[in-house]
Amino acid sequence: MVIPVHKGVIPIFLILIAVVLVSGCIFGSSQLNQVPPHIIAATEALTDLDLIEGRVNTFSLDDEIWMINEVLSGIDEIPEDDPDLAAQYQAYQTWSDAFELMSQVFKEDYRVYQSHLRQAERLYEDFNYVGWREEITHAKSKAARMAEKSREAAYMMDTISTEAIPAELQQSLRQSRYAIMEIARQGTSLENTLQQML
Amino acid sequence: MSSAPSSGSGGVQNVISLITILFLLTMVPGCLESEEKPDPFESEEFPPLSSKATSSGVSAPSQVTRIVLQLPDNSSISDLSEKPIPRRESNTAEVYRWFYDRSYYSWTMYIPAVRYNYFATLPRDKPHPVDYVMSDRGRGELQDVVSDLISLSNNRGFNEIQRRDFIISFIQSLPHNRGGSVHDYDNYPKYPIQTLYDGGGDSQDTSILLASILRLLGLQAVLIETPDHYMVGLVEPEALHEQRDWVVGSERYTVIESNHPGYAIGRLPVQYHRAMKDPVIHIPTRSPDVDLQFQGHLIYTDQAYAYYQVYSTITSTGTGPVRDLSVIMTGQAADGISWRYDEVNTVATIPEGEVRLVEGTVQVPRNAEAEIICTISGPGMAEKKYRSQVFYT
Repeated sequence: MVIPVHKGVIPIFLILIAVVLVSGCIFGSSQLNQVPPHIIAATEALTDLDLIEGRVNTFSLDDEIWMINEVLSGIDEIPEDDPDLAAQYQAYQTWSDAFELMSQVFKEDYRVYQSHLRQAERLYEDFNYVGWREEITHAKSKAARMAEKSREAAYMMDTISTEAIPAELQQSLRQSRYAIMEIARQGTSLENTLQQML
Repeated sequence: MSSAPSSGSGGVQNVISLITILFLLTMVPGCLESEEKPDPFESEEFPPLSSKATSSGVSAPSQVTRIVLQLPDNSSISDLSEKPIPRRESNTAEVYRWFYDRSYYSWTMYIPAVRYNYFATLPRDKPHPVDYVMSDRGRGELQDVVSDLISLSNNRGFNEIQRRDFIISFIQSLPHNRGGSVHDYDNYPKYPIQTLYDGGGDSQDTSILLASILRLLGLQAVLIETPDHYMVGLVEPEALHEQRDWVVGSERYTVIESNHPGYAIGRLPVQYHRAMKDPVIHIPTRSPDVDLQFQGHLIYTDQAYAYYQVYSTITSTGTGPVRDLSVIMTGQAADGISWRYDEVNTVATIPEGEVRLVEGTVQVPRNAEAEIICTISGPGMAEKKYRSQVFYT
């Protein structure tokens, strides 16, 4: 039995197949292109934070992390035959994780650190040296933890290959690493200050 | 008829009348000079004060008071009886020995002569001996002592109860403690570290020291006063009260002897049992307080006002630092109702025993009888007013 086929259907059918085959690649690439502006903004937000001066509002940073994660989670599948795209995806994911770790430092660790300091101040006023010393020791270990977490984030950033990210993000990569190491330094500085008090 | 400008004799007349007007103006004092405004802080020559003004602070009505003095403050706390303490010329070291739990301990303390003499010369200006317990004076040194004693007890593997009893034994055994007599304290409370420097003291001094160290250890210690003897009280769990001989007060404080060695917590030397009928319990607090001294100096006068620069010296005399002080310098009429002018200053923090200088300018109308009042207030302390003598502007 012969099924009559119109001449024009075959090319159209082939084109459709080709589109379906490459669609994942085009879709993923265009979505990944939405990430750099958020990474740049997140880097700026991170640079503004400061443990010593008490600039600890992570609202902007969290906002950008959320946007980056939204874009990355919207990409269903990264084609295995495009290693550059996969590396880029992985770099963004690592970058976002490092930002999240830094956000935790300010949102959680710094808050606990501050509460120990406040408690220490109250105990000092209450003439309780042993209690004050304990609270300062807790605050000191929290400051050490903040420095440690920041260094962890910096190590994560070191795994990002400069070849994996577009040229527009090269500056942000250096800036992010510098900001994270600066926060690690601030954590160590707070730890040393508290050590001197003891 | 001509409307041309006058000339000849008319011009000469105009010149003469101009000279006459100028001459008259120079005769009226202050008329020409009033256009020049002198620098308000430029020093001026004032007529010397009469002896009456110097002694009473009130000038004769024709004179302006140059220096306004503060009235003596009768409400200030009179110093407790002072006793001369010989100064030390050189640094010393004391070795303290005591017995606890079948072992002898010794601990050496380095005593800088400067610090010893500092405490020896401090006035006893706190309202009550309990105010010396939580004093910041010598607190750093005392914390070092506590650190050393904690290290020593940690090395011996003591728990917190043993550590407390170990420290109690140490203070009870200070070599110059004055235990023995029935009435065993003078009215010269020592700062806690001073008692250690002296190697002990009377029951008042050692109780202040013990209460202070127990507080630094985080224990709620109080002072217990009787007519003959001072002791320390400690809050303990109800279950332990049955094991103690002496538990006093509605809060059920366990009595601790501080001046006689060998008395365990809750036990007392027999000579003080009779005095325990009506013990007074003093709870140590950090009570910030200040003393203020001021003087006003006339710096400038104009036709309407006299301006006085008020120099005030604020001393933190309470226990602990004073914070967020407000100092209001008020110039007001002697009758207190006609007029007033306020100058407001703030002072952030003054640590205990330190001094700050605050100054401000108070403006007072001329030809008036006035007074300057300095009002000082801050959190945790009652408002205080310091008045000047009435003066004339």
